[in-house]
Amino acid sequence: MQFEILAQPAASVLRLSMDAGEELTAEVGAMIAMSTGFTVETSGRKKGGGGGLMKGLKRMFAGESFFLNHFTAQQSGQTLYLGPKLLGDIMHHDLSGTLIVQGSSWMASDPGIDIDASWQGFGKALFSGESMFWVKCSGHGDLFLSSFGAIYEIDVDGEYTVDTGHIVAFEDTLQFRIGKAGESLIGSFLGGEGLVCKFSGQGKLYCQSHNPPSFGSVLGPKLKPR
Amino acid sequence: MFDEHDFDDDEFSGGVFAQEIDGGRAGAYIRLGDRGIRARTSDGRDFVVPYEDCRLEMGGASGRMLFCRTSDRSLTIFTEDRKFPTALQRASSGGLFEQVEKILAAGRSRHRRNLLLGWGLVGAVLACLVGGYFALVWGARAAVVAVPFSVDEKIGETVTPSVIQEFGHELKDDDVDAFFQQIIDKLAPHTSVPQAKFRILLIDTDDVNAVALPGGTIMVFRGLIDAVETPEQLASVIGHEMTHVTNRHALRRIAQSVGLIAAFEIMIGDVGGIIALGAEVFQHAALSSYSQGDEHEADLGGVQLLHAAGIDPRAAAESLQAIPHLELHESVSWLVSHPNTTARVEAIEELIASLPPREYSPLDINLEDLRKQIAVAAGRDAPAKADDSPVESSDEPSDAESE
Repeated sequence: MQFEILAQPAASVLRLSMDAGEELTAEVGAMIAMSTGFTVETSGRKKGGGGGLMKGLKRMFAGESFFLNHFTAQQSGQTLYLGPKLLGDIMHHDLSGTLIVQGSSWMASDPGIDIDASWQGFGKALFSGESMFWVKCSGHGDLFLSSFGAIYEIDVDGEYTVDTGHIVAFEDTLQFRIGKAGESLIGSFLGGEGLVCKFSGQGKLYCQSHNPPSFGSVLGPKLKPR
Repeated sequence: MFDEHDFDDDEFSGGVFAQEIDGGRAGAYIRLGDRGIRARTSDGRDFVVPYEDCRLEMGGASGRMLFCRTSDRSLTIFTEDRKFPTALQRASSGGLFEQVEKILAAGRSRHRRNLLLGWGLVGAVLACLVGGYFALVWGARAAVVAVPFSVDEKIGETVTPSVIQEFGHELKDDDVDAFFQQIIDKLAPHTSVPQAKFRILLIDTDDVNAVALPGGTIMVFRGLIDAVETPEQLASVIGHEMTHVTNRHALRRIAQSVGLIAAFEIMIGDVGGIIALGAEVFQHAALSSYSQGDEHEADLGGVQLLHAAGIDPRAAAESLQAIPHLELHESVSWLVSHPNTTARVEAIEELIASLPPREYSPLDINLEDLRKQIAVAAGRDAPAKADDSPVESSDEPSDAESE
């Protein structure tokens, strides 16, 4: 399977070239276009079994869909186009281990990768600006994530601070806690940053340039009531 | 890198951070060797953190990942396997052993904290559920005060025919009514709801019982008239039932049974809805039995009524003692909800002792005349009674709110 990410970063599209027998599991609704030599199977389970009702429900809590689409190329030279829901970037991650992904950023992955949801804890659920659950991707293979705005990668070794709502994904070797941006809580809020996510440890962190709630709060008042 | 022998056969899944690896990180299988922690990546490369140069840290997204680093942080081996710390403690000595011990102690402390937090949460949820239930029940009972007494009367009117049918046959006789009216006239002026219109219906059955319907209708069973020894005892039973009416125990019970719906209807002022719902619930006999608290209130209210009306209130205790089968005739659920006779008699006597002294006069009612009049009325009504016999002959005790 070969891939190319087109039109980065504002309106990215993922173009996949697949040979006969190659498979990909993708988020429901992510397919933009495809050649005719694919079979598409929709189920609540991982390709080839595994998971099931509970995992499907957990995915829903994490902001993903209960169902998954499994694309299998029946002939060589098939192309598949996938795109994210929001205007933004797509990134490729060669997974070997576990990556924690914010709800709704998972777009597609190798069928061997396990897509599960993990509870982030009360404090983080309330203040991280993300879904109550994270999507936990484990295994080996290609993983494609989407974002709102551009994605940038940070190699953390020590400590790093990210504003709430800007996390796309991070390696499971990183730990984060919710803290205030400045010295004082009032100062943090007056500075417009409020609470932030403070990462520690060693590993890769992926952030997005925009965050959907802030965009919504700017756009919302300008919309005419229906 | 090292010519290592394994300390044991255990293998743990994890990873390694090293500059020599493309991207700086790779997944690896970890073993505990003679000299250090050994990680083998999928491409077959080995990395070793020597025991004497190993620094341990806990972290990762789960907070349970153990990082084993060299002191210059150039190499890190990590794993989340729960068995790894114990295995590492077995393989290590000196400073590293102490580091592992600290990590294991922190893990045990975290486990205890989480367990405590978990049980605390379960307890809090249970407390909220129980508290919410009682708040709802209390709220629904309190809301009854806001409902006009006319609602009680309408529920009473609606359910009277079906309750009569349930117990047997009504004996209608003007002379018998006159006896009952004397008791009503004596007691009614002293009740807490002066506008309540009381009426007594005589039910032609041997059961020793009396039933109060919301609004003021009281059903007295022929068996009760036969069982009482004095007219004052009969008045005490009627006083007890009148207190059920004026203290609106039926509406309270309905509000409690259908709490949320009733409270909602009371709040939005849907009187029609309350009446329909109340009538339906009241007819469901099992739901209509009163609580021990309501029975206690009715006992004491009855005593106060007798005292205020100048009737000797000791008749209330006597009636309970004289006709013990008043309870024996009742269903199990009724017995469960009623305090036992001794406790009731004690409570009544305690109240009587605290009442201010006053002159009591006997009721001008001849029980024998009343019984004869009832017999005459029953004889005149005989054909109708025969028709109703299948219902009357039933020995099934009633669950309804009865004396």
